[in-house]
Amino acid sequence: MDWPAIDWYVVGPSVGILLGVLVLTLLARLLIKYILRNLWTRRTTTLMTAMGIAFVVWASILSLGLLEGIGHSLRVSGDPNDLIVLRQGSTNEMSSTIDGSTAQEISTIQGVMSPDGGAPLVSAELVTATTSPRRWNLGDSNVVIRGMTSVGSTLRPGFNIVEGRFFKPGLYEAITSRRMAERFENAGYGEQFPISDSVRFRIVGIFESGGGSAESEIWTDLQTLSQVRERGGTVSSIQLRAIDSDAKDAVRDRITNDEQFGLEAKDEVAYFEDQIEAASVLRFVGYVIASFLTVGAMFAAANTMFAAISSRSREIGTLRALGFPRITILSAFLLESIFICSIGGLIGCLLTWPINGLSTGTTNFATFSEITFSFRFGPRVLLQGMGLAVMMGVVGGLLPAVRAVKINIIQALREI
Amino acid sequence: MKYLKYIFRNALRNKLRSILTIFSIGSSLMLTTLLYGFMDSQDEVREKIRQYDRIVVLSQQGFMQPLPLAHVDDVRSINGVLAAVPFQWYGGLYEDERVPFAQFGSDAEYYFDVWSELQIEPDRLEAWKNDITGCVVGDTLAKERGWQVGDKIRLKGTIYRFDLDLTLQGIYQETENPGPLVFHLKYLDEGLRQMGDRMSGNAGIVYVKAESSDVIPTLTERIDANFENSTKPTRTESEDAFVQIFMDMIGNVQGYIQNISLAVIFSLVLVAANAMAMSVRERTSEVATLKAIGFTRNGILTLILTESVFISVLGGIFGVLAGVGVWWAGGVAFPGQWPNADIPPQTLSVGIALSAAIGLFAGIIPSWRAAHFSVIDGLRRVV
Amino acid sequence: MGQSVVSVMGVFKEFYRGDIHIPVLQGIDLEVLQGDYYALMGPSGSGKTTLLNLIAGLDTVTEGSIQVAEEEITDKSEDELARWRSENIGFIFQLYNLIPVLTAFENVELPLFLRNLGKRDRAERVTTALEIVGLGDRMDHFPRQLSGGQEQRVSIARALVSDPTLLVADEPTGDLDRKSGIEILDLIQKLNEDFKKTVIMVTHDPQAAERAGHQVFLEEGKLVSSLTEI
Repeated sequence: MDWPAIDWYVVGPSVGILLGVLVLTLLARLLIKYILRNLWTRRTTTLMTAMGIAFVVWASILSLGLLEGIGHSLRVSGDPNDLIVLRQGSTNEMSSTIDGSTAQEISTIQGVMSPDGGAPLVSAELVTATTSPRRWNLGDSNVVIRGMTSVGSTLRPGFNIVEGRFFKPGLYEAITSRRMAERFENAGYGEQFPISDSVRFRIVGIFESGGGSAESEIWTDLQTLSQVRERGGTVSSIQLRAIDSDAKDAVRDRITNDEQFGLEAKDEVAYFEDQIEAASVLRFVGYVIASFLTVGAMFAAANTMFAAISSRSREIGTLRALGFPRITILSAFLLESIFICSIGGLIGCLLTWPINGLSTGTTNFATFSEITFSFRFGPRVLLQGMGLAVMMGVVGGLLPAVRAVKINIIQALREI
Repeated sequence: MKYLKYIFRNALRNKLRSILTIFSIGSSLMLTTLLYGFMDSQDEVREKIRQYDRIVVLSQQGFMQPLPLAHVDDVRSINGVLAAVPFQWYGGLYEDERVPFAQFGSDAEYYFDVWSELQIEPDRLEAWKNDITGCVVGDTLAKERGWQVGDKIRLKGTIYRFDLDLTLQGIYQETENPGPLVFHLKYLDEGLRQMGDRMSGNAGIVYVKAESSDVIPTLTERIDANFENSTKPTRTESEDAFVQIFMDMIGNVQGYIQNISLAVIFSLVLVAANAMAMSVRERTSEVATLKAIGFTRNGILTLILTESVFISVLGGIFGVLAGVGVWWAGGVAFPGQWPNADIPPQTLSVGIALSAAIGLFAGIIPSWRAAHFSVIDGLRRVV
Repeated sequence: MGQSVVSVMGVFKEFYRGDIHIPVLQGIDLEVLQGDYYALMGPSGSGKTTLLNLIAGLDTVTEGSIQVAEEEITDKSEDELARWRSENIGFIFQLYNLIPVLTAFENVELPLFLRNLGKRDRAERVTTALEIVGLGDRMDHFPRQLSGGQEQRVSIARALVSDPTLLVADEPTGDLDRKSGIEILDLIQKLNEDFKKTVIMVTHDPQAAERAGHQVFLEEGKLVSSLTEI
């Protein structure tokens, strides 16, 4: 699953909510028909409230789907035995510099995987950025240009050319992802992308790489990029694969502990988890937005339920006189509120359909470079949306339901 | 006007409903106030920046690509330039902090000519100029870290291999935004050169103080023209346009905020309309009585519309005030990270106008219904 | 002599409205036997409905004891009372109090949800109850599709369906035209005579009260043998 760290925050409450609703349904089972009929009879009000809830849930899901998309685009489904080597103290590739010769030394370390008869799986990579205009006048942003060799692509699980071919060294050629091709001027297949003031690289291929961070980059030949950028053979990072997990630990320690290198090797998986932290401010903002909206919707749900209860107080009195226990009546009204909000939640979820997969982008302010992503309304986001809807129903319906069971039967029976 | 009391009483009749409606509208409009406040405050920030007549010279490849140091002197000699300094991000780590605070290498000689609005004691400035390893910081940063003049500040390079051993020579008074730590770029550059590092000789970007705001448009063109045929062509922007680059980088924030706000407004119209419809339904016989004693349809329509707008505007006022409150609290809780500007008054008035519009739209159907049902039905009807 | 169904002994009921002390019932003793049909009469404010509510377990006494089918109900908690009502009391209200969103059949079925009965058992009893009140052909109608008299008959069927110990009726004809009123009174009388139901009915209509085997008059919170003419 994507972003597994957050899974329990969703699965846990979802199961809790589901159980809660189940218990309520059991408690209110005698009056289920009564609730449904009421919802249907008052369908204009029901629908109005539900639509109000729907828009709110839609806006919340929009924010959550955006976050999910950003998270997905920063993540990489790296091989667990992959390491990334950066200069000591560097938190990302953009701010790291390593001598080109070091890469040679590292590939000789014991434990680095070398496929039968092939070169070791060590990829020295140069990461630079260039400011480039987005299409549709959406302003400029920095595009990551990564210089590498074909070993680099072997190290990316899920790497695949979907159109055209891989770049050839020394020819001012580059490849990029579909999302980048659509988002940036001159990054389309066959177009000439300006990489420096005087040099343009021809986009000769479109690749995919499991939707991860690589799909926010343009890839070209390491030597060519180094010359164009006058980097004198330095690189930004070295990515490598170890034979197995023991070898990985050994290689990591060997590199990190060597004072001569002044380098630091990290598990690639952990490295990308750190990068996702960059999105934590956005996540905070997203959750704040969703919670403000939810609170507003709770008041709306409470309003509808209070009205429902005050206009039905004689019915409630009658039910009480007939001997229906208070807990049944409380559960019934809570359930009614949850029903209304869930209908709204469902509509809200459906309304996100047209946006699902729509790609857009933002800047990762840790590296000042563009990350492209697609809105992702996966099961988790939809579950979160429905969870919010149910919560609106519970909180909005609680006080009205309590009021319903607190009414004075004798007065209620005579109310007109 | 004479019906105002009746409308007011009606709005208060079902206090719970009115309060819930007000809160519902309020909490959602608080959100839109904050979102639009954020967007509009960025315009304010740019507006404020404009008065300082500064321009920024970048590499044509963007601010990530450094300009050569030689460009600084060239820029300084261009007509219309009052002062010019290099401005190079260092990004070093202080003690065991994991995220670098703002540190820039610049030129002590001209730094306070370019940022002429910053106040520093002349003897402190003199001390900084005379100490190659000296640095100055803004008072926010000094207060946060508890630094005093004379303190040693060691920064470990992440981008550069050269670590900085700095001595704090002065603390300058900021105007609005927290200012960075500024050190002599010469110190870093000399260090890198001695190591034979290829990253020496870079100025980062060049900050320029123009003679006046009038010369800025021609000056930016002149600077770019000057470097057009050099190995490092430039892209010169006014400082506010430079700030806008960062805003643009976040992406289509405006579109996102508009979408969310639109959904919120739709939702609120439905919520308010629903509340109003419930009120009107409960008052059917009363409205019929009003008609029976001679109120016209338009009269009833106006009564109920006004009530709807009244409640909605109360919600709007509440939301806008709460938004300003949260904005203020955010500024206190996250100094430095929160946008350093107030929510512009026009954003607030738009929020309240919006709530009035919500009330108006929400009131249309319920009031039309109340105005058009038959008196006989209404009087007889038992709800 | 029949078995005692309701036994009211020394019941006082007082209300407080702010600081004002309102004595409503001041020492009521009443014995209702199986199969009795009582009419409670009296001017408004005399406490007749309060007495009915106390007997039906909707309200609690200030002092005294009420036993229904030899079970003390004055010391029951609210939820115990709710359960007790569902087993022992059939209500007939002045305003019928049908649930507008449920059909006649479903309204009558409602009290049976509180019993452990299968769907078929319920359907059988509901059908029987509706046939007794003469509405076998109106089962799928909603309350608003019925006349006032028909609504009250559905309400009576609902009171009957759980075969309660006691039927309580509060002004059952108060909201009906004369003809429907007579039909309802005929129906209640039939329940009393043919089905041996014990009935306590509050009414201010002397003609309705005449139908009952026993007339009891309340005046200023006390039982009197006959209503004094004012």
